[in-house]
Amino acid sequence: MFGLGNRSEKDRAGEDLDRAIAACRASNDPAMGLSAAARGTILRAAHDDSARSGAFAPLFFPVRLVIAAGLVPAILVTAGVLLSVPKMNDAARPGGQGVQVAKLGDEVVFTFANGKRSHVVTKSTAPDRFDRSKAIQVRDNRFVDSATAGPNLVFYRID
Amino acid sequence: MARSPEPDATDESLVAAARAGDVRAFEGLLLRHEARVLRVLRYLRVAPSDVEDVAQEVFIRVFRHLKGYRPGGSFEGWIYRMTVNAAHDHRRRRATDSGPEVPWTEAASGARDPHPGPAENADQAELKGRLEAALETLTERERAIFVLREIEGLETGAVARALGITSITVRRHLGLARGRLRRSFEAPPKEKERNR
Repeated sequence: MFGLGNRSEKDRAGEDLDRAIAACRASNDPAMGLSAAARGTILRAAHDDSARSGAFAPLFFPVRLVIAAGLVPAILVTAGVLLSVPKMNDAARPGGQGVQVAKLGDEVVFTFANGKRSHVVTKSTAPDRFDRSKAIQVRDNRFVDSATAGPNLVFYRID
Repeated sequence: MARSPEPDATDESLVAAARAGDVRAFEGLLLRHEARVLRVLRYLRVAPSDVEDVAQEVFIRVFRHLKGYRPGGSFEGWIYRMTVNAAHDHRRRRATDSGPEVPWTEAASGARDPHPGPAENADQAELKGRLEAALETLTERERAIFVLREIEGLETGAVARALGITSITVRRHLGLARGRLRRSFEAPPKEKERNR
């Protein structure tokens, strides 16, 4: 008798638990939401992160660097660093920041320190015409090219 | 020009755009998942006064870790995982900063949801209040598993993936949680007891 009574109480408790779960599920309000202030805080933080992070620079701040180098890289690097900034907005960083170019022996060495993990380097003999199908993906923040082979004047576009 | 979040866009496409720096796409994800995050935080016993702060933390983490999200996985599951982790960190901070945790007073006092659903009657509200209070008797892991499986309605495998544990662990802790909660329900509600 005691066993049956005890079992019944357990059953009832189990049923109540199931009904409580169902009540919780039924009251899940899809319209529940954050306050406008909280949303604003989140989106501001996301925007600030994007602005700080080089990873997002290409879309937010499409800075295009066109760097000329050639047979005498030391001279061209000094004189020929050109910037083309098509849609730069107020928050954009000055173009070229974080990119260093140096001639080491017969090589031109580009070092990227702008926070991006990968870059796309495109070469051309004309600054207004770059063939993206020949673009080179650079993943280790360093791009090395020959300073003696190829045309006398080479333009580099770095995205 | 920034575009408006598209209601028909999939989570995957919004994530891809947000990863590329589109904050408006991220806003789409935020609007789509904020109710879920708030609800889960509440059932994970984050105090009502802290829920919005913790939810902010969840979404800022989500944005900062979007690169870690693997396309093809469940974004919903990923959000759940972030939410459970943020609730855990919040509890730990609370315990470190101010000693014993502040009780979740609304449920403890038997207060009702300020915005009950249309179908919710007094009996349902009471049961819900009892369950919310009883959740406090569970361990953090049991609570997270119970909330995701029973209240959010995720499959066992989805709970396991969201929490980074095995399905066996989910089943075992779910059984323990249900046992504890059932025992809580065996005791009569405090108010009824007082009226006897």
